[in-house]
Parts: sequence; structure tokens; C-alpha cells
Amino acid sequence: MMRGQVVPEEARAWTAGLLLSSAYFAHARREAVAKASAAIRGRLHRARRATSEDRGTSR
Amino acid sequence: MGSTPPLAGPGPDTGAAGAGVLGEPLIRRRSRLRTWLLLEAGAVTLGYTVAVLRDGAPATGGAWALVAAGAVAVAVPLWVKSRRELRQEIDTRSAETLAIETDAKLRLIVGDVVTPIAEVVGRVHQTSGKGERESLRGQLKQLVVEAAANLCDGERARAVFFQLERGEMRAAAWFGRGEPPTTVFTDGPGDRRGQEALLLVRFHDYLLVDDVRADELPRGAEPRPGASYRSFISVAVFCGQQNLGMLSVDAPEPRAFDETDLNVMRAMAQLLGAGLVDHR
Repeated sequence: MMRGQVVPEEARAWTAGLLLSSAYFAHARREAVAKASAAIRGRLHRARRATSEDRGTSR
Repeated sequence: MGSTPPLAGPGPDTGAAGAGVLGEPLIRRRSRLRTWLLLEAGAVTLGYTVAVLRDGAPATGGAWALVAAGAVAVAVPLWVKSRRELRQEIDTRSAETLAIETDAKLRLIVGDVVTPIAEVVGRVHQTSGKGERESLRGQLKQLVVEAAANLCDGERARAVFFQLERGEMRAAAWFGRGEPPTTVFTDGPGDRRGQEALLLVRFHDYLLVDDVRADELPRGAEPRPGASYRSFISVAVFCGQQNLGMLSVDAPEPRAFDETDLNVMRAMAQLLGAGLVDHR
């Protein structure tokens, strides 16, 4: 389950001019890369597991 | 703009997503493969040596030559295999890194930029006071140029919004490297660049130029003398039939932008147009 704000606090701070765009984008990039990394590695792991299971059943 | 401390404290700006943050685990995993390959080579060498010495050391030159030929015959396929595996490992990691970069960019564009800007567009149209609406619109222009400069791949990109007023376009918001933009696009008979820029807006077009020095440019798209950019994207900002101006991003290096950047610019221009349009 996932629950959160549609427009998070840091994004509101940026759009309200309370946070410099350089700081906002540096933070957003770090977060995006970390989440993307976890998501892609998770997908690859699942794909590898599914492939090996398929091999096991086809024998 | 106000300034508050960075959310996550000072840290390396990952810039092109993936560099720095992804580099370390990538190297660590590759070195693990090297260790396995070295172990495999050691085991094969040991096995071959034991097999050779089982019946005693070779006594003649011919026997030594046979042992050497056997060693080469064992080593060559081992070397070829390890090279192939290392190359495959690098290719896999590169594909993984590219996939992560693409996913990260998508997250950044959709989640961190389009969503909050769309919220500001909504607030512009909810606000009843004229002063407050104009203030929000000023904020929106600044947010859009900041987003455009940060999202487009140019290393030292600069984004500018040229607002159309009384038949002329002037910079209303800008963000990025150095010099503030001074260009004013007019419909004057001597201003060919101005005429073409106004036509681009009138026809709701976009223009991506990879290299202003190399490409055969459409008339009027040439840079002004002494311009500091080599590549640029310009996109008309409009909503319905209302023409509002032009959003541009430029960079000092050639081929700084690709089609993804163009699509980001198109989305940013449409968000800006939605926020700036007047109720009729």
C-alpha cells in the first residue's frame, strides 16, 4: 500500500518560492535516481527469477 | 526567489541522473566477477599442473613442448570466455544504468515538475483578485523556465520565456547560465529573426536546432552576432487561439538537446499557456 501527498511539501516550497530551484532539483534528482534504481533492480530481479522458474518447469 | 537550506543537505548534484550515485555499486559488482574469473583460472591451472605432474615432470624437450602447447590450448578458451563474460557484464550494467536514468527522468518530469506546476496553474484560475493572479502568473513563468533549464539535457542550459505583448516579444522570465537575455523580437522590416519568431508563435510551431553553425537553418533562425549558444529549442506558448509568447532553451554546446527535451519543452509551454490564458 502507498499513501502520500499529491503535491509534496518540498514541491510546494519550490512553487511558493521558499526553496531555491537548485536545491529542489538536486534533492528531487537524488530521490528519483534512488527510487528508479530500486524499481529497475527489483524488476530485473523478478524477471530473472521468472526466467529461471520457467526453465525449471520446462524440464 | 527566497532561499532556504537544501532539503537533504549539501551533496553531489547527480546532474545527469545516474553518475556518482550509480557508479559505486557498478564497480563493486564488476570486481566480484573478476574475482570469480581469477578463481576459475587458478583452479584450471592447478588441475592442469596436477594432470601434467601426475606421471612425473617432463624429461625431454618434446615433452615440454607438448606441455606448453597443452597449457596454451587450455588458457586460450579460458581467456576468451572471461573476456566475453566481462564484456557482457559491462553491457548489462550499461543497460541497467540507462534504464535507471530513463526511469529517474520520468519520475522527475511527471512527479516533481508537472504535478506541482499544474497545481499552480489551477491556483491562477481560482484566484479572484487581479493582483494576486498576476503575482501567481509571474511565479508560474519563473517555475517553468527553472524546470525547463533543469530538465533539458544541456550542461549549461538557459531557459527564457519571451512574452508576446503588443506585437513584440521580450524576456519575461529566465533561468540558467550567465547573461540575462536582451533580445526583443519585433515585426519590424529589418528584424528578420523577430519576424520568424513571431511566425513560429502564430503558427503554434516548435523549432529544435542541433548546431547553429553546422545546420542549414531556416531563414531568420540564425543566431545574433556574438551569441553564446550553439543549440536551442523554441516552442510557441499559446492556449486555444490566444498567442502568448515563446519558450526557449539554449546551450553553448552543439547537440545538447534531443527529442525528449523537445517534448519536455512542449509540455512546459502548454502548462504555461494554460496558466497565462485570459478568460474570455
